[in-house]
Amino acid sequence: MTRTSWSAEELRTLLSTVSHDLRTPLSVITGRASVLRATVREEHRRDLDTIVHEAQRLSRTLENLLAITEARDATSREWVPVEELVGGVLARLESSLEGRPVEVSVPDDLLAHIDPVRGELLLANLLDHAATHTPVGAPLELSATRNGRAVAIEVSSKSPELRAAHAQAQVTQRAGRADGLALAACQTIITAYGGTLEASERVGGGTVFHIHLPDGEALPDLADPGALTEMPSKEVD
Amino acid sequence: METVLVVEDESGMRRFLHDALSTAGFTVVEAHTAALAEQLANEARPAAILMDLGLPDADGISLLRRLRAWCATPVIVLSARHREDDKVMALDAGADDYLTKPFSTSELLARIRVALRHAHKLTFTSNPVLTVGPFRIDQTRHEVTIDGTLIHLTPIEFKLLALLARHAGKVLTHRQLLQEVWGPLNNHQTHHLRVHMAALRRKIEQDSRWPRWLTTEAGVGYRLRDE
Repeated sequence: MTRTSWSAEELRTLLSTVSHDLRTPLSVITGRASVLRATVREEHRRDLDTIVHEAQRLSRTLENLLAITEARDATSREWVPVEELVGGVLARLESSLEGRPVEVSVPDDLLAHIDPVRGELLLANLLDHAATHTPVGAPLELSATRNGRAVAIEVSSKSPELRAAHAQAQVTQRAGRADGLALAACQTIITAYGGTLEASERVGGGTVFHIHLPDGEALPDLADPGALTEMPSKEVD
Repeated sequence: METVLVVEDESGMRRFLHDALSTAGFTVVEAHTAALAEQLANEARPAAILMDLGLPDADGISLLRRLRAWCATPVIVLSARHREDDKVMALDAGADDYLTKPFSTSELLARIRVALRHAHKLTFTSNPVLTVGPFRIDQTRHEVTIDGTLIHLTPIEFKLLALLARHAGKVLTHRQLLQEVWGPLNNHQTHHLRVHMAALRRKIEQDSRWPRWLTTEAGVGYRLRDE
C-alpha cells in the first residue's frame, strides 16, 4: 500500500521531528569543532571555523523550515519597538555581516505589531540574503516608518549584484535553494500577519525588499501605562 | 576543582559537554535521566547544573521545580532556538540562564562563569554600589554614572537598570522584570516594559541600534552583559 498524500498536520509533525533529530547532531558538530579549535595550530583554525559557520547555517535552515510549518497558524503578536528588533538582529548577524556597515533609519518610538521571535527571523533572513549576494563590506540599509495602521520596513542594498528579479522570484517561490527557503519563510511569516513582502529595483541601483505589516489592533496608548487598568494581563497570576 | 552536573539524554552531546568542561578544569558528572539527575544533584554537590529540557523519564520543567525545592545550585538550560516558551517557563521555574543550541565552547564557559559568580556572592546583601562594565549604580543615592559621567534616568529606568545590574550577565524574563519593578499585582503588559527598555537603552548605549551592554533576548527577556 502506498501513501499518495500527507495531511498538513502529518507534514508538520514530520518536519518538526526531522528538525529535532537534526538539531542534536548539529549541536554536537558545532560544539566538537569549537573544542578542537582551541587545541589546533593556527592554520587549521579556519577549517574549524568553516565547520562551525556551516553548521550554524544548517541550523538556521531548520529554523526557517519550522517557521514555515508554524507560521500559518501564528496569531500571537505584540507591540515591539522596531529599534529593539533591529538591535537583536544585528547582534545575531554579527558574524555573517563581518563588520559591514548597516545604515539604520528607524524612529525611536516606532512600534510594530508582530511576534518578536518571528520578527527577528524575518529581518535577519532579509539582511542575511542581502549580505550573501553582495560583496564583503558593501553597505546595507534598513529603514522603517509608520504608514497609517501599518508599518513599512525596507531592507536594501545599492550593490548591483543583488538582483531584484531574482529576489522576487525567490520570495514567491515556496521552496528551493537554501536562501530561497529563507525568503520563503519571510513570505510565510508576513502573510500570516496579513502583510506583504516584495522585492523591487532600488532607485539609483540595487534592490529593496519592502515589508508591509498591518497592525492587528489599535496602537496602545503608552503615555500613561498606569492608566491601562482594564487590559487583561497574562503577567498576573 | 568545581563539579558540573550534565543532564542530557543524547550521548554525543554529553560527550562534547564532558570534554569541553573537563578541558576547562571542571569535574564532570553525567545523568541521562531525571531520576539520576536528582540523585547526583544531591550526592555530587555540583557547583552548576547544565540541563537539557527533553529527558526520557520526565520533562525538564518538573525536574527543575523538584530540584528548586531543596537545591539552590545554578541551573543553565540547553534549548533550541525556536523554543522560547520553554526557556521562559524554565527561567520562571528557577533556571538561572539558558544556552541556545548550537553553541560553542566559549559561549558555554561564559555562561557557567556568570552562573558561578552569582552563586558565590550573595547578590542582594552586597554593596549598595554596583559596578558593571562602565556603569556605576549607586542604589542609595539613586545615581548612575557611565565612565564617571552622571546620567539622568527616570525612576522606572533606574529600577530596571539596578535590577539587571544585580543580575549582571544573566537573562531576566519579561515577567521577572515586570514583577520586580512594578510589583506582583501589576497589570502592565510586555510592551510597557519594552518601551521603557528602549528609552533606557538610548540613555546608556553609545548606539542603541547596536547595543553593547543591554541586549534583547527575543521572546524571553533582557540581559545586562558584564564582560
